[in-house]
Amino acid sequence: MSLQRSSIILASFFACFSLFTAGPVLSQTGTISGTIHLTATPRPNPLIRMGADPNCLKINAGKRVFEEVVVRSSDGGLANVFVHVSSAPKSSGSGSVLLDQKGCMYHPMIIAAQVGQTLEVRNDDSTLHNIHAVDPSKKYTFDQAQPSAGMVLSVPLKDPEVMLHVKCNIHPWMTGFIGIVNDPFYAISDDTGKFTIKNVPAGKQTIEVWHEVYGPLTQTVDVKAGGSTNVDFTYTGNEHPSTSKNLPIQEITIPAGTNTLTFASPGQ
Amino acid sequence: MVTKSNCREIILRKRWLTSVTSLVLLICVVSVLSQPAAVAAAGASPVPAKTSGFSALPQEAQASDPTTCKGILSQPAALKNALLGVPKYQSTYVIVLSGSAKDTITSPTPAALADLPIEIIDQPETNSIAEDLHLKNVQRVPASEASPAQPMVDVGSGKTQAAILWGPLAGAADIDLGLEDKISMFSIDRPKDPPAIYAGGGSTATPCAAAIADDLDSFGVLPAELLVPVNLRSMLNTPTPIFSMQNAEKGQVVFQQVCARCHGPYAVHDPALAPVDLLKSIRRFQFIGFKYIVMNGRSQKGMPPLRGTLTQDQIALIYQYLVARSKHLLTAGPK
Repeated sequence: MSLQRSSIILASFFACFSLFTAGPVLSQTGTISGTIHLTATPRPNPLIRMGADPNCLKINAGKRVFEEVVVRSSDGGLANVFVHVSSAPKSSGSGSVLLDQKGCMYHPMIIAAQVGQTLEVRNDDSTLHNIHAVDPSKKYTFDQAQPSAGMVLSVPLKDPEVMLHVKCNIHPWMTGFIGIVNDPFYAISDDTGKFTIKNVPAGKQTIEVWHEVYGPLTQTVDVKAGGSTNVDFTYTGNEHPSTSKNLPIQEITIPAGTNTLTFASPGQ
Repeated sequence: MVTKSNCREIILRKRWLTSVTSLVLLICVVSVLSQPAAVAAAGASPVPAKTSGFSALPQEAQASDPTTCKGILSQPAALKNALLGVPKYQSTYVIVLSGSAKDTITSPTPAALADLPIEIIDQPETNSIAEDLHLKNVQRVPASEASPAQPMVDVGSGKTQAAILWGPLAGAADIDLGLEDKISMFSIDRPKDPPAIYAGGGSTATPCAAAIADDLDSFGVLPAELLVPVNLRSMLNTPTPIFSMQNAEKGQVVFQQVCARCHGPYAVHDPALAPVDLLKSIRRFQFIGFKYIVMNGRSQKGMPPLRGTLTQDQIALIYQYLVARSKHLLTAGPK
């Protein structure tokens, strides 16, 4: 009898404990979902000339491969958009995210990650790849050759960076972006432009989205506790990115009397 | 001529990487024995196509401009000039597919092509391919200056769903006829000589020729040389090029165009690029070893095979450039 009473007391204790911990958190968070639209019809994506590397040509023999710069579904959904709740509380993550070099392309070409995680860059091709961070802020400076299949470069993600641009110096069509943020509230839009972010703290939140070609957009939403909040973004096609795919713009001072400027690559 | 004694000397003197030593051994054995039975591998390789059109290299790099190819099928002289200016695909023939054949045939295996109605130009080179592949349903159209790529016209109009043509001609026709999305294209069969009607005359790099090469690249067409293994036996007769600074300087241009992407503009070790210092490694190579690696690639180090991409002459020029650099006879960097 006393054993039964003890069990009931213990069960009640755990029930109360769980109400004080998980219960309130669940009830104070919600889900954000939505769709990224592109109203304009984009220009065709560039065709890749794999012949620049015979290994890439062999891997893709007989295929016409296009860069996936703008991926728009038939109903106007825009894929590969980084979506982030930028007003969310900060935290550190764990585990790893994979950037796979396969078929002389990045998979995926847009990645979302949390500070504290590790970026694993893997070469799945039997050809030389180079992974190069193009980061004007110099938070990430890796520039590493991966000559053979199976090689992995692990990069601890210590600092937030939206967006970290990576490229392969050997295959100029290989270019990717990694959104590194201080919280776990992010997503990448799928092939139909849809995204979902769960367990977002309830209340007013700022949602930022970013696309490689069309750049950033921002909205503020009121996240309903225990419910789902819909937020759609629409690009018209006239926007411009804040992060250039090319080298960063640098300020230079032109000496008086200079008529000609010569630009050269580093090392020249 | 490589003899037994200098083979031994090479091997003993140079305590080198196992793979390269093995290569030298292989070359020595093949050379010394010099018997058909000893070159079974080479015997399995096809007889290489004559590549007489390549000797004028290196060419100046040309920007690709497909608009300069418009109307080229009706200009015989300009067409010939453009086609000969595509060295990478001179030995390559392609099969072009459209309609349901394009959708169903994703790899041109002999079984997939055996019964397919395929249109070819009635000329020895394509007839020979049809025989090699045991094609049963071949429709021949006469070679014609007025319509030099008639099978492509017929593919475009839907009259046929498959055609076999010389690669550069198919590329030029694709651009001129604007077929692009309607077709797929695969390299087919071993390296073969260009059609006789296009033989002779030097090659000239033109924006249209560059566009034709780009077009074939973009369809994933492999240079035919990549479809067959390196012909080791034919390499053994290659003389070491006689060094000249003029050739070394020409080699510098080719190096920057083709090799610098992976080896860097200065050909020295860079952790971000190919894991080899060419200026050091070139000292260990005789020309034949260098040529073998360039043609066959080094899969362990991520180097692609460049047979087809580079001509024999270009490989010799690059070798001279690297020798000159390693001996400090030539200044570093892009020219």
